[in-house]
Parts: sequence; structure tokens; C-alpha cells
Amino acid sequence: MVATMGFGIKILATICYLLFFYIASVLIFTKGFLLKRVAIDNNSSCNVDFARSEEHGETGGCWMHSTHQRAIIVIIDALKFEFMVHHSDRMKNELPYVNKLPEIHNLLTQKPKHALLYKFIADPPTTTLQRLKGMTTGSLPTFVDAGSNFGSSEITEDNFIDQLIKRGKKVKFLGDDTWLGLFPGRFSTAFPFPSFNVHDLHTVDNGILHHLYTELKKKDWTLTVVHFLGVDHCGHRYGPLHPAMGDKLSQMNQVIGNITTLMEKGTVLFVLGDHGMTATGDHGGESPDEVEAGLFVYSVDQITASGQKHGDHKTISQIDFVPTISLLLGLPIPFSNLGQVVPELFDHCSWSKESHIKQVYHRVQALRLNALQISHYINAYMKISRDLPEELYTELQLSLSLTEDDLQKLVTKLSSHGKVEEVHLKFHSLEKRYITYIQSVQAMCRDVWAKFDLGAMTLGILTLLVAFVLTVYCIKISPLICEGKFPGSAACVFIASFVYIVHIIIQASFLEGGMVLFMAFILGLVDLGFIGIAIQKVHGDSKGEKFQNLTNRSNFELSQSFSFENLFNLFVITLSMAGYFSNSFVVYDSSISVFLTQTLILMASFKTVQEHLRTVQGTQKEMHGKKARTTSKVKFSNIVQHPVFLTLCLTAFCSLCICLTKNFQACREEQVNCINSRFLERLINLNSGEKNLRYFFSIVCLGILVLIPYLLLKHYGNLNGNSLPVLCMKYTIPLLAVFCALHWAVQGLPQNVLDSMPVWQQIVLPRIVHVFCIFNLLVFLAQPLLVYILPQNKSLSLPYGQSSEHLMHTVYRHIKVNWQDYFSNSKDKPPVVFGLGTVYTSGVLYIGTLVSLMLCLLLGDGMTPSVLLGWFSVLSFLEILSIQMKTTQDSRLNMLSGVLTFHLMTSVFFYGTGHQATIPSIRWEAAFVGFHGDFTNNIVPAILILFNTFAAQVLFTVLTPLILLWPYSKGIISSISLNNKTGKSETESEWKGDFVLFENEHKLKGTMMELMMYVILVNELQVLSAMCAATLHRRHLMVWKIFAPRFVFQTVSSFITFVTLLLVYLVILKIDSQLGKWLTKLYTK
Amino acid sequence: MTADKTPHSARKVLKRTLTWSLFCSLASLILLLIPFNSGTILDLVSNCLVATKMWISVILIQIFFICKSVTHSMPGKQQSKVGCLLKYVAVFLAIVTFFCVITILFGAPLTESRAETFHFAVLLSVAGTFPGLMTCGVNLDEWSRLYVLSSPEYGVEVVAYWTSLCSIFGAWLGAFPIPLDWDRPWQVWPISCVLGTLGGYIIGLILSSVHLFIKYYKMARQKHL
Repeated sequence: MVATMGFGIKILATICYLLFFYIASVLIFTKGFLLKRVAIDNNSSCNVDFARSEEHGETGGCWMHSTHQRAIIVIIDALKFEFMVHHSDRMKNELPYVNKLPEIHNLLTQKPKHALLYKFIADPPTTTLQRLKGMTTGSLPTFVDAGSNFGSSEITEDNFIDQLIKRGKKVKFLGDDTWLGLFPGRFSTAFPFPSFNVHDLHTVDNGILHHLYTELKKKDWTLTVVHFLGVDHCGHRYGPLHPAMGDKLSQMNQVIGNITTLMEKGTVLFVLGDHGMTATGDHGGESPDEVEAGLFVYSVDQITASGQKHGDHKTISQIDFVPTISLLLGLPIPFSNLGQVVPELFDHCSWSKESHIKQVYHRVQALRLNALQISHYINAYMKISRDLPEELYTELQLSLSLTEDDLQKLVTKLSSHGKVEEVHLKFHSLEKRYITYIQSVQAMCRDVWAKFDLGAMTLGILTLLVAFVLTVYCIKISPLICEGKFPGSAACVFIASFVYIVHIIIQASFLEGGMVLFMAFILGLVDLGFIGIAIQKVHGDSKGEKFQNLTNRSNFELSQSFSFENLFNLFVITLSMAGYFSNSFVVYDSSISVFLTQTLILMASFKTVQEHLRTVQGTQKEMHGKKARTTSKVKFSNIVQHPVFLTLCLTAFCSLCICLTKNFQACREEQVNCINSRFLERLINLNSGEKNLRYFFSIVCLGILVLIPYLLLKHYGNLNGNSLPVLCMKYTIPLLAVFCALHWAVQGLPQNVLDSMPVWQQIVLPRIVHVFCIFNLLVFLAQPLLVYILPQNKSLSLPYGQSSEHLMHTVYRHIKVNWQDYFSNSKDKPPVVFGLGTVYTSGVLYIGTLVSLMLCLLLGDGMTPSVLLGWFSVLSFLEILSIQMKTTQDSRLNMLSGVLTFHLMTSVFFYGTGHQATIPSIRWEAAFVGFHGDFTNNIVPAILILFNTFAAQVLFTVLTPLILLWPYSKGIISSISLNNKTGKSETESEWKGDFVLFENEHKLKGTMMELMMYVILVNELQVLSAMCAATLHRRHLMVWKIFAPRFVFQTVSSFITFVTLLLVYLVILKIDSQLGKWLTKLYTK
Repeated sequence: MTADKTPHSARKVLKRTLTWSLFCSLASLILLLIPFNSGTILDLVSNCLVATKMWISVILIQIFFICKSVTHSMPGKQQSKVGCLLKYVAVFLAIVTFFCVITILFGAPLTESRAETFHFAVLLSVAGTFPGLMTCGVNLDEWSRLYVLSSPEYGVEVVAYWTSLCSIFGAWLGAFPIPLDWDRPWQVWPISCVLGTLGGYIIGLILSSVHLFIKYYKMARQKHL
């Protein structure tokens, strides 16, 4: 028994080790892939210690004098720099987009101190939404703005629109409705137009033009934002080289001309593109074509003293726009801005024309405010996160404070004695120092936030590959474990992989780049090769051994493991993983997984029928020679009991269940013509007829869901006696179902009635269910054997033997054989034990029931039918498998196909419980089941939401051991076919159920290990393909919408699968050890 | 095998089947490729339903001729012609219903484009099971021997086996381009599946001729030895 426990713990350690590998690889990959930044919701205010606070004079503005009272921002989507700049050479004149904006060129040449043109570099990803965020907040783009609201795209960070609103100014908006998503309720007047239809070039633009000029003339605004989409859509549809682009740009030219004539004093105009476009008109990546947009600034007043040389256009970053417009309008710079003001726009002061020094001072002042704001932001950021390198940070802060001191000294000196030349030079050097500071902070943050770390990503993939190979190794040694041996190569493999993982972790957390990274790669590849050799060796060993023992059988097995069915199943799984590399396949994964699952189910059923016919053919040949063909009379009962017929019925039922999950699917926004399932609607929002119908339908489903395991356990004889778990199963679980139904009824009450109820009444029901489910689990863990020994009553010679035959499935023959001598002494009958034949199965079913009850509660009433469908499809598929196993008499073969089908079913039911692999589709309401929103920490809601989202993974992983156990424990339906095939009496007495696994002390562990390794293997493969897809498409237009969420969901889902698997394995180990103790007790008694 | 008993006639049968299947595959290939993207009635992309009907009849005629050329007699000759025919029609209808259900279970729309689903199911049952129906009749044992245990006798059954297998596999593969965002007209349900079925059918014909040719070659060598 000690040896057995030893093996159990060894396997447990192996799984933990693999889990550890998995977590390490995912974390390393994530470190390189997911750009993350903590969003700080602080706002800048006028009252800061480094700038004057209140507005004074007629110019107004805080922090600095505002030079303009109004601003117009004209965003022309995808306005490339090339479109704006004037080309003088003739050759290029042929191109349709060249020199189509002469208005800009005219203004630049005619009024060089009123108009400026810049090359405007966008940060990738060059998509409109990300760019608008950057252009209003001045922050760098990342995937996860931790702390911000996941549910909507609303900007919560400080931005200049909010600053304007806070100061009571009016903002007008016309154009792309993306803005309204980012700034809901901020605009005093808004004319949004849908941005969805890329083929439509004119609706948005013409809609804007219809209102634009009248709105501009009204003068009731401080800022007007106009967002034209025509150029972008034209690029998407025709590309930049199409004549339509020329027409569109000419139209925009006209717009710019009209606006400039309408402008009055004190108004500044910005014409800018949010990103560029490639030669084919697309955008999203980081090629120069995509990031080079243009910015054109124009004002009726003079805005710059220096001006630009003709044709010499400076390059600025897109985020530089934020501090510039803020200070021009006299606003505080948004708190989390990282941009640098454009100095040329601040060297002209209308009130101090005469002094050159003052102009320079003004410029330095703007830069100084900018630098101090950034320093404040970085300070605040450092307080909450450790992303940024500490040393560099202190160095930068030191240089800033030195610059500050120098500036103070210079200003005090300025009043005493003024050598103009010297002061001028000093100011210039100070200006440079401020610019250097801002740029180094920018570079530091960009390094951390906006760059994929390809080294870390590859290292993550490599680590997962090593884990994958390790898993294959574990699968290979599991037959040896079945025989009670532990191969010698295991220690070597363990050491090799351990050295690698330790190196990797040190590498990833303490060292950066260079030789060490290279070493890690070499080590990883060596490890891969080494484990590969070990696998080969184990494979060869086991083959050789089997040749010695059973030559025929080994050949048979070898041919079977590469059978057509297995290869086809692997092909299907490979297809499902290859789908991760295509954005449309990820989008339609819900339909594709249904398709593939149906294929696997049909394949399994075909295989079953084939095996059956083969064996029938074989036996017929043996019995009657070649020509005999049984033309027995067709009897109805014969047909019904025929295994082929049963298989077909089960297949049809299982397929139907899988197909019906489509009614519960949610839509993601990329899916066209998709309607959200009605079952996703909250009960409260339905009209009364539909409400009642759905409520009662859900309750019926819940009832059936609770009834099925009960009936199964009763059938197996596990519900005899009065032990606590049995009583729980009999009474508490139905009661909990009733509580669950009552909770839904309460939730279905009208909102005002619900609100008027005290809080405790709203949350008491789900809390009872939560608590009692956990209580039941604990009870089960304390007493995990659902068996019942019939009391030895001498007067009752054959207890229930003849009368209730179905209770006698579990006549305990094993003990009779082993302890016959002992019992024959005392002249006793062998003890009669109910439920021993399904001792493991019953445990899994019991836990499955509890888990699905909790999941139903979390998923809500609408999704309960889907959970029921999950149970139905699992049970019918298991029945198919057990029919197959009974005909082939070999349990090892169907393990792979079972695991693969379970895996695909998991994905079907992930979608079938109303989820999608996107962040907006997370169902946040799950956090409020049993809680009223008064969370002290985030752990409880996080767990609830996690369980809701990955309900399918949890349920199916809990039921996974049934793949192994079910064929032993004789399903109801497959037993009918078995009865038909062989004599009844024989099976009754011979049947030992899954207790057969206990007889051989290593068999359970070996096969369980193999099963779990297959599950881990498939999940690792899936994560691996998601990782590779994310790496490959890291510059894809849709990476943050499709591939990155897919990767995140896959990682979390696999993690949950692993942890659940581990827990289920622990439960089975517990049952196993308890069974051992129980048997010794029985023996001594 | 039974063919070995009378090598001469067996070889003749093989040769005939081989030429017929080669001829049919060529004819189908030409029929499939020439009107493609032409916008005519025979074009699958623009006139899916009509073209599918056309293809159903083409395949029916081809298989009928392949079988007729070799066997000269329909299976199930004991019964009267009418009763036999009725039986076949009933079985065929059942198969069509079966494929309709399968198609919907695999994810075809239930409410919209029912005509398309039906046509596809008919095509699939013609290409996938009609050869079997012609060779095995309505005998379940024969069916299970041919398809489940996959041991076709040399001759027409090889053609039946390969065309059925490849047609169904082709139809299955044909579903994969549907979700892609290429915006091509043939990505609409069920055109790609129909194309897949037809492609599978043609490949099945070619494969069966290869299979038969190898067998024929072996037999010829045996004779020389």
C-alpha cells in the first residue's frame, strides 16, 4: 500500500511539475507579448506647485497664457504625410494622390508664420481607436490598460477633452462614431456617423459637411472635432493609387479651404491624420507607410516666430499633440501625457513681441511645464508599478531637478544683470536639457510598454515545447507505471528539464538579453533533443519487452495506435489548431468547433460499428465456416438491443445535443448576421409570457440535471445505507436545486420590487447553495466511498438475491475468492457490498453533480439547459465508447479519441454557455450571484467570473476520468447490448466494475496518468498554437481584437483545466486510499 | 477473391470499368471546369441550384452507365421490377433525409436556404451512396461489407467505394472555406461544399481507376508468369 501511495504522489508531483512548466512558459511569453501599463485615473488640475494656478489677464488659461481661445481639430482618417506635402518633381505628379491638397501648400508658402506642417509619427498599432486614445491622452498604446474599465472602450485616463469640459467649455463633435464610444456624454453637440461600412465612401463625409459650416458659425464652442472617414475607406476599398483617392483628397482640400476662410482671430486649426496607409490602402502595422501621418497647424494670428524653412518639415510624435493643444488653449496638460510640446508653437507671444529673450523664455517655460508634468506622472506610476527600471528613473529625476535649479538661478540672475548673448545661450542649453529629459522618459516608457520582446516570446514558446515533449515522455512511460515499474531515464529527464527551467526563470526575471538568452535557447534545444532520445528509448524498451511477452498483441497495438481513426482524429485536432492562425477561423470558432466535434462523434460511432461488425464476422467465421450468414428472424427487441442500432441512436442523440448548443451562443462583433441568443437575456428583461416559459423550462432542465446522476447512482446501488454523503445526495442536492430555482424566481421579479427587498433576502438563496455545495464536497471528501455493506444477518440467507436483481449488480466476488478460506472458517457468506463496482465512478458523478449545480447557479437560468445538454452529450458519448470497448476488449485504444472529443466538446460548450473569446463578452453579472456588489477585495468576484466564463472547462474536466471509468462500470445502455451479445448470468457474476482497477495496484495510477497526460498534451498543443499565432500575427491589424484575446482565453482555460484535473486526481487518490483502508478493515473484521 | 476464378472475364470487367471510370472522370472534369465563372446556367457559382440539378443527373447517368456496362443486370432480380424500383426509391429517399439531417447537424442553416441544403443533400447522396445502391442493392450485409469493413470486390465495387468515400470527404472539406473572409462568391453555402463533393467524386473516379489499373497490371503479370 505504501508503494501505491508512493506512485500516486510521484504522479501528482509530475503533474505539478508540468503545471509549473506551463505557468512559467506562459508567464515568460506574456511578459514579452502583452504590453501592459497601469492606467492612472488621476487628473491634472490648475493648482500645482510648479505653475501659476489662476487665470489672469484677458488671455486666460492656467499653467500658461492661452494663446488661442478656440480650436478646430479636423481628423482625416488615414491622411498620410505624402498626401499633404507638396511634390515639385513632375514624375510624381502622375500619381492620383500627389498635390491634391494645394490649400495647405498655399498657406505654408503665403503665411509661413501662421502655418506649419509636420510629419506626424503614430505609435503602432495604427488603428483608429488606439490612435484616438493616444491622441487625446498622450499615452502609449498597450493591450491591457489595467485598472481601466474592461467592459467599454470609454477613456478613463485624463485627456484634454475632459480638461476642457471640467473648465466649463463646450466641445462639438462631427464624424466617426468611435468618438462617442470613447467619450460618451462629453460633447455638447454631436453628429455621429457609423464607421462600419468600409465600402461607403461618402455617407460620413457628406453627413459632416451638411452640418459643419453652420455649426462652426454658431460660435458656441471652444473645441470642434471633425473626423472624416472618406480617405480611409477609399484606401481600404481602392488603395491610394486609384483616381477615387484623388477626388476624395480634392474634396478634403475644399473643406480645408472653407474652414480657413471661416476662421476668426484666436482660433487655431489642426488638420491631421490618425495614421497612414500602405500601398494597398491598409493600416494597423508599424511600417513607415502606416505610421507616417501628417499634421498641419494654421491660425489667423501669428503662431510662430521662427517659422519653417520651405520643404523642411520637422518630425514629431503623435502624442506630442496633446501637451501642445493643452497649453495653446491654456489647459493643464493631461496627467498621463508623455508627449513633448512642439517648441516652435510657443516662441511667439503676442504681448511681448519686442523681447527675443522673452520669446525664448516662453518656449523654455512650456517645455519646463511639460517636463514637470511628465515627472509627476512617472512619480505616480512608480508608486503603483514596478515596470520601469529604477536606476534610470532616479538618474532622470536627478537631471531634471538640476535643470530646475539652473533655471531658477538664471531667472534670478536675469533681473540683476543681463548680458543678452550669454543668457540667450544659457536658455538654449536649458531648453535642450528639458527636451532631453522628456525624450529619455519617452524612450524609457516606450522600451517597457510598446515593444514586443521577441526573445521572451520565443523563450516562452520553447519552454512550452519542452513541457510538451515532457508530456509525451510521461505518456510513453505510463504503461510501465501500470506494471509497477519506474523507468531509469525518468531521473535524467527530470534533471535535464529542471536545469532548463531554473535557468529560464533566472533568465526571465533577473537577466536581460545577450549571451545568456542565447544560452537558454541552446539549453532548451539540447533538452528537446535529450527528452526526444529518452522517448525513443522508452518506446523501444516497451516494444522490446512486449515482443518477449506477447508478440502478436504488441504488433496489434502498434498498428492500432497508428490506426486510421487515430490519425483522422489527430488530423481533425490539428485542423482546429491551425484555425488559430486565421482571423476568420478564430471569429467563427464557435461554428467550427461544432462542425469538428460532430465529425469526431461520427468517427467514434463509425469505429464502434466497424469493430462490432469485424468481431461478428470473426465469430461467424469461427462458428459456421465461411458461407454462413445468420438470417435470423427480425425481432423488434433484437433490433432495439442490437449494438449497431444502439450506437446509431446514441450518436444521433449526442450529435443533436451538440447541435442544439448553437441556440445558446453569444455573438462577437466581427460575426455578421449574428443574433445573440435569447437565453442570454436576463429573465427580468423578457416579457411575461416568454419569462414564464423560459423560467419553467430552465427549472425542468435543472430537475433533470439533478435527477440523472441520482438515477445513475441508484442504479449502480451507490445510494444504499444512511451514510452522510448518501443522505446528501438524496436530500440536500434536490433541496439545493429548489433553492437555485427560487433564486432565479427572485431575480425574475420586476426591478422595483427587487430593489425594495432587503439585501439579505436577495443574496441569501445563492449563498445557501454556495455554502451547502462546499459542505457537501467536504462531506464527500471525508467519506468518499459510496458503498454499503449489507449487514450479515444469519436468518437472511440470500439477501434480495432473487427479488431485486438490479441491486445485485455488485455482488462482491473478489473478496469471496481472496478470503474464501477465512470466511469458510466462520461459515459466513461473503459480505454483500452495494456500489463497490462503481466506487470510483460514483465519486466522479457525485462531484460532477455538485459542480454542475454550482455552475448552473453562476451561469444563470438561461444557460441551465446548455449544462444539461453537456451532461447528455457526455453520457451518450461515453456509452458509445463503452460499446466500442466491449466489442474490442481493449481500453487503451479509445483513450485518445475520448480525450480529443472531450476537448472539442469543451470548446463547443464554452461557446454554448454564452461566451466568446473576447473581453466584452465576459459576463460580469456572475460576480453578483450571492453578493451585492459590496466587495472588500477583488478575489471573490474574480473567482465567480472565472468559473462562469470557464464553466465548460470545469465541468468537462471533472467528468474526464469517466472516459477511463465508464467502460468498466457498465453504462445502462451499453449493458443492454452486452446482455444481448453474451449470456446474462455470466456477466452478472463476472462483473467487477471499475473495482478491477483496484485489483492491480498500479493499473489505476498508470491509466489515470496516461489519461491526464493526454488532456494536458492537447491543452498544451492548443496554447502552443495560440502562442505561435499571436507571435506570427503580432503586427496584424486585428491582433488586439482577435489573436491576443484568443491567446489570453486559451491560456486561462488551459490553466483552469489543469488545476481542475489536479483536484479531480486528488479526489480519486483519496477514494483509492480510503478503499484500501476500508478493505483492510473488512478483512480484520 | 471471386474474380480469380475466371481470370479472363475478370480482366475484361476490370478493363471495362477502368475505361469507363477514366472516361467519366475526364468528362466530369471538363464539365466542371469549362462553365466555371462563366455566368451561364451550368455555372455553379451564379446558378447554384440549376447547376446542382444538372450535376445530380450527370452523376446518376455516369454511375448508371458504369454499372450497366459491366453487370448487365440490376441486383435484386428475384422481385418484380416495380416493387424493386419502389424499394430503391424508398431507400434513396431515406438516404437523402439522412444527409439533410447530417448537414443541419453539422451546422447548415435550419431556416434559411432550405432549397440549397436539400439540393446539396441530394447531390451528396447521389455521389456518395448511389454507387453503393447500384452495386449492393438494398442488402444491408453487402453495404456493411463494402463500406464498414472496406473490402470491395474488384470491379464496379472499387469505383463505388472510392467515389463514395472521396465525395463525402470532399463535401466535408468543402465546408472549410465558408468562414474565411475572402469575400468570394463561391464561399456561400452550399457552393463550396458542392464543389468539394464534385471534386471528391472526380478524384474518387481517378483513384478507383488507379486502383483498378494496379490490379489489372498485377493480373496481367501473373498471367505472363
